[in-house]
Amino acid sequence: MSNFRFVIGRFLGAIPTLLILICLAFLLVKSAPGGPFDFERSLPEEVEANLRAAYNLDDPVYLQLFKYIGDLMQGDFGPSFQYRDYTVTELISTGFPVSLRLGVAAILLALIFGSLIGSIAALNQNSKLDYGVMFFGMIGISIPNFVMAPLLVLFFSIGLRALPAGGYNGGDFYHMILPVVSLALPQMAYIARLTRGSMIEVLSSNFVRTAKAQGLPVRTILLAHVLKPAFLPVVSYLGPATAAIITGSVVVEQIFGLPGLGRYFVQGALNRDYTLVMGVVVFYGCLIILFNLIVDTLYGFIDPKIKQNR
Amino acid sequence: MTELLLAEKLNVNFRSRGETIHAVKDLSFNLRDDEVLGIVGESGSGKSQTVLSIMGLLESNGAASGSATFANKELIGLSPSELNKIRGNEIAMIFQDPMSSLNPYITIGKQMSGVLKRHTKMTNKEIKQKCIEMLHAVGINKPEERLGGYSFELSGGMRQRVMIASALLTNPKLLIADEPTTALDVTVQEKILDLILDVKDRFKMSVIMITHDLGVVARTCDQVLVMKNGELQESGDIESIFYSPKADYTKELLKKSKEINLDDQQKYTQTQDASIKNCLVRSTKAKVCFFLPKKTLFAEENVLTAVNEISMETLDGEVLGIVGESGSGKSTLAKTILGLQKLTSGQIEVFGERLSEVNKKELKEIRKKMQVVFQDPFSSLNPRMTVFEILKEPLDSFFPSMTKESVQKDIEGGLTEVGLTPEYLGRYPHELSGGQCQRVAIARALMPKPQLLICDEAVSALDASIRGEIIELLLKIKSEKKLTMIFIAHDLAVVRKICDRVIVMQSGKVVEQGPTEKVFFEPEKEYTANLLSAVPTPDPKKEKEKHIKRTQTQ
Repeated sequence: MSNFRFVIGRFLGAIPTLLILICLAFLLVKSAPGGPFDFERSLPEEVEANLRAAYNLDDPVYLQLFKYIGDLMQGDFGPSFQYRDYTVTELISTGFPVSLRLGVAAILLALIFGSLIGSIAALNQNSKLDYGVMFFGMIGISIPNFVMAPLLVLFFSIGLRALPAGGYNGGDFYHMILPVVSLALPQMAYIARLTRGSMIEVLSSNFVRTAKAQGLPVRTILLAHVLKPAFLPVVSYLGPATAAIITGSVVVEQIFGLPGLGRYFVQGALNRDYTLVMGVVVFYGCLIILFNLIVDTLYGFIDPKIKQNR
Repeated sequence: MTELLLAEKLNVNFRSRGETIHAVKDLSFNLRDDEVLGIVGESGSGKSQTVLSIMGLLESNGAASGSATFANKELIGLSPSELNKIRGNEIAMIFQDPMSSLNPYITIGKQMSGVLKRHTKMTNKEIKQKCIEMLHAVGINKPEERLGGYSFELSGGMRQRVMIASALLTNPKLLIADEPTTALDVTVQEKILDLILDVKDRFKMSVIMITHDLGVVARTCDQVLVMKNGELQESGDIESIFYSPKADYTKELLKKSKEINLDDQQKYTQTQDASIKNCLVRSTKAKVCFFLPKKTLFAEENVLTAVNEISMETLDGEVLGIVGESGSGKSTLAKTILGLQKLTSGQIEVFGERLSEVNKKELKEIRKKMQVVFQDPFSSLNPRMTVFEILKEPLDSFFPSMTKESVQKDIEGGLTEVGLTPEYLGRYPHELSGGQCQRVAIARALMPKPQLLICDEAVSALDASIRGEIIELLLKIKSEKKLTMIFIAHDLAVVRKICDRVIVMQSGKVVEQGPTEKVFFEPEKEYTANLLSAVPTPDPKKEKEKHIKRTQTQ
């Protein structure tokens, strides 16, 4: 009951967030200099006037915004300015599967290896292994993926000639390795440090001492007493991690030439393809809000104190 | 009686930043079947480290050497897997802070059954039955429901009962209790101590009771070890320790604990004279409610009334004590007087002004005359400020036009007044001891030269000897500055020593009020009498009498 009410409440709370997001993005896109019909070779004036009229570009900005929101509420993202025969919805539905594949693989990789490495470091606190892990963790966090990706390509593709340097190739496993790894590395490093910190804290807590005093073996203590509280911070980080993966994918897809949503987004922004940019922003906005909601609900199931306070 | 635990030349060392700290030095003692051994000492005396080393629970930088044999088995140097067969099974342990010693993320039932799953071959059904039985044995209502619940749903006393129940599950031969009642109210402490003695008899165990409170020792123990700085000062049976102590340190501890003690026959001369005095604080039917979140959409609003129509006054120049158990609303009342908490209804007048009607500027003027000292000296001082900055802050805020020289003079003067030298001005709180921090906090409160000082459990977190010093300091300042004090405490002995008048509070209401000696020696209400008798006195004979009286009336 209380969890259900919490979810409903959060859904309603997401509406103003989304509206603010739409308005801000819309105004930002519109305030960028230039327009969708500025080509190298300029169009005849009458043609451009007709085009502008057809897309309502001559209306005041607030009217365009209202009309856009009205269309959105009916599930209509509008037509693309650039890809003439496609609607934005169609573009999203071709690009998203690629991005989804990349993103899910990256977040799973980051989550599994990050928490594993972090736990191992915590269990060997202040050993050489621990310092090593934390050192590479720091490097992983500090190097942005637009630096990491070319370095990986340089080493694995050009140096070792072991992996393809780019391209999608229908989502072939070998083609996905480098994009997924370069997207996952910073998150993996962050999750490792997060896990290590919280696990060390839990391991030194009084209730773990109680469990030791009860004669429970280390494995039982870890599984029954430590795991749940130690991973709570990681679970709550999953929300921001998704956002980071999505923004990261925009860059990584560009570098590796993957036909994902991020690439559409970048090209849309460069070409002033208003509807496409807006469509991707709204779509990703919804996705991030939804994912944060899932994480918060999940948190309630793990942490009994939260459950009680809902 | 046979030897159950025999420790010989037990040593515990900690290595920290290249230094070796000897926490326990050459300690030898023995514990027989069916006996309660008390280990007493102030914090840092090594009393906890002694038992932690026996249990193999030292921090990773600690090491134990020497010998400790339990039922003819050497424990020191035993491998963890061998040790795990003994601890939780034949030796069980309960800890000081039941709040953090139970895992808040898993159910009580799961925590308790983990012990049985580890040490017995019982079926799940038998395990559940045994857990219920034990919870029942320690006096927990509706044990079946509790099994599915979490520790944070219980009060402190209940949590300690759950800890005891889990310790008893495997019928251990030895129960180690490390300050089991330090975090609890006196009335709860009384019940938990009685429970420990009761289960000791019923389950035929020996008990090691670690405590800093000689009253607790007097109430519970047969044999006593007195420790200081890791070394044994004296050991013997309880009568000889209390009635013919040999070591100087034991005598000193006994003297200190009797200094602030309820049974002391000497009546303190009260400074109160009969002339009519100004009333500094007057509360009329003050009420403070907190609104709790609703459980379901249409449920009625949950209201917690922390202060329930309290009428009281504080006269100029007196020390007013407010006592009560935790949750009785005494701190909320203090916050309300300070204007830190809004009244729900009723009136509080401070220095003749109604708090509900003053504006921010007027409130600041009132606060200048009214200062506060809080319980935890470490957390109530900003860790990023030096002592100088801490003391300068109230001056900046209340007297912004002071010259640099007079600020410096005031701060140095203020620090000297609380017994610290100006060399402490550049230090940060973490470089000071608990007692020194509290002195700085008192100095800070005195900087604006207030008329009224509110001490909210100001000495509760301190060790016994330091507590005595701080109380002396407060009394000295009070008489020198003609301060009026409101002294909030759950420690009745302290209240008796320094207060002229006492208010006894229970669940937001005033149970009794009057001159201290009258309330303490001729309490009118049963609640007050119970509260007073619950305080353990450092006198084994009196404690035995009290215990017999209690068991008879039950």
